[in-house]
Amino acid sequence: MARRRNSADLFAEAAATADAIHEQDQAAAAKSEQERTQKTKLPLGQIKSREADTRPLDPQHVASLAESIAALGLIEPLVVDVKGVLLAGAHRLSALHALQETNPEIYDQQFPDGQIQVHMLVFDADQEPERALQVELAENEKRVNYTRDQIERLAERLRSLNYREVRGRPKEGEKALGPALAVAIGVSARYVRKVLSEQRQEERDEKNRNSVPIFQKLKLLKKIEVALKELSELPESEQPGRSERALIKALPAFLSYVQGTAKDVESAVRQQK
Amino acid sequence: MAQTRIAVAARKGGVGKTSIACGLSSVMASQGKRVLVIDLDPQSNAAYVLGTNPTAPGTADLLSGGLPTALEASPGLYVLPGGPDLAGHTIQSLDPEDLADAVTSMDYDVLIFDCPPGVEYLERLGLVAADVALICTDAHPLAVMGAGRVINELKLRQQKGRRGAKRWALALSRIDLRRSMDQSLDQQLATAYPMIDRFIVRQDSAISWAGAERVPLIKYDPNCKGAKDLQAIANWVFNG
Repeated sequence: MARRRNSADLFAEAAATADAIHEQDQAAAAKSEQERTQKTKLPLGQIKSREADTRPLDPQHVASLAESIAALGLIEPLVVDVKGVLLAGAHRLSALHALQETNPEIYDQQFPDGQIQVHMLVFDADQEPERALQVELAENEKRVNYTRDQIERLAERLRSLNYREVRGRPKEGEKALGPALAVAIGVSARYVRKVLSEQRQEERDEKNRNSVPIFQKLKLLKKIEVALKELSELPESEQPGRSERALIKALPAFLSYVQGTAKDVESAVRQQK
Repeated sequence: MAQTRIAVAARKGGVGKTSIACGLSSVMASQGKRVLVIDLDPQSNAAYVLGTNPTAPGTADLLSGGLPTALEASPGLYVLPGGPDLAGHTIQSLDPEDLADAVTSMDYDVLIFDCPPGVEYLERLGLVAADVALICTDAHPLAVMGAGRVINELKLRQQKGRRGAKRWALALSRIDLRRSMDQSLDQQLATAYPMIDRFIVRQDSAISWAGAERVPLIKYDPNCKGAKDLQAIANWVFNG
């Protein structure tokens, strides 16, 4: 057995080690303090608006965001500085206030602890206004860059996750596609609906044109008919030239040919069906 | 009378924090004070030791903005249980001064914060909310190391002028002077921390039996050695 050391020495060694660890204790405390102050949630009342916006708020966008926040909650956290001053997400912040005012029940459902998700950047907008502006612009820039194709592809992915394009409140188990997409890419739900419905229209048209060219013809004839009628209703020039006089003369007959052809094509289409 | 707030801490586990905190609470309640033990330990031992329900809502609820009802252990002696909720993320992200703010308007003569071993953010809540700290150590170098870390933290806070305990003492627990380690502990602490008061709480089976049988110490045996040693500490707390 090793010879026992003097216990006073043993205690002295332990006390010295406590001093040595103190530095690490301090570093750990400082780190956790920094992480702690870098909050991921703030009460709505503690999120302060920034002084000036680079663009005015679009009330329609605010309204549609409020609608989507009511359905899905806040998907993208607001970006704030260390003091809770808003850096990016003015529309969302305004939508949150609107929702809290107009529909407090749903608001409480979405934010039961009254806390709003934030992404806190570790600087003070008062001290570094230029950086604050850069964040605001970068955030906005990111958001206008979704092309229609990209939006359609995103929509496709959401559909595979049981998101549906529904009007009004989604049924149980269903999730509303439009609002979700709108929030994710930072555009209005209306814009998303428009893009998606245009996309559908094009798909339909493309299918028709490829399989039955006769539709294209009918469409053109109808257009020409409308244009000719409009033209004939316009007053004549005071001193019409030769071409114009000839055209005026030929118009009624030409119009009847167009109408006749259109009628023929229409009946052909009906037969095909 | 102004409220007295005491943090009992050690950093090391198993050195007698809960026994001393609960024993001291019983002693003070027997002196006619209204005492509340606030357990900061996720293991929730304080409420158990005092014979109440350790799973009832307690300190975590208080720290989350709730108003939990304190459990009565004996006349004038109350406890807010700890529990696993103290290890949750919301508690971790609290400001160190949040407990101090939460207890300011509580209607008790004495608050005793039973700090947990190891978990520094919970221990800190107690140290910051207290005006007096008791640092526990037994006669083992590892306990002395833990106590040293708590002392260093308290000193640093005081140097920086931050909120928290303004005076503190060492409580040497489970001391049996027939053992050579125990004999040299007091001497060693006197050398290492000459400015800090030291109190010896002798090895006393009444303290461990009271805890095991879940009876407040004074109710278990008002004349035991442990009760006398803790009375000396109570006297220091109230009279400096």
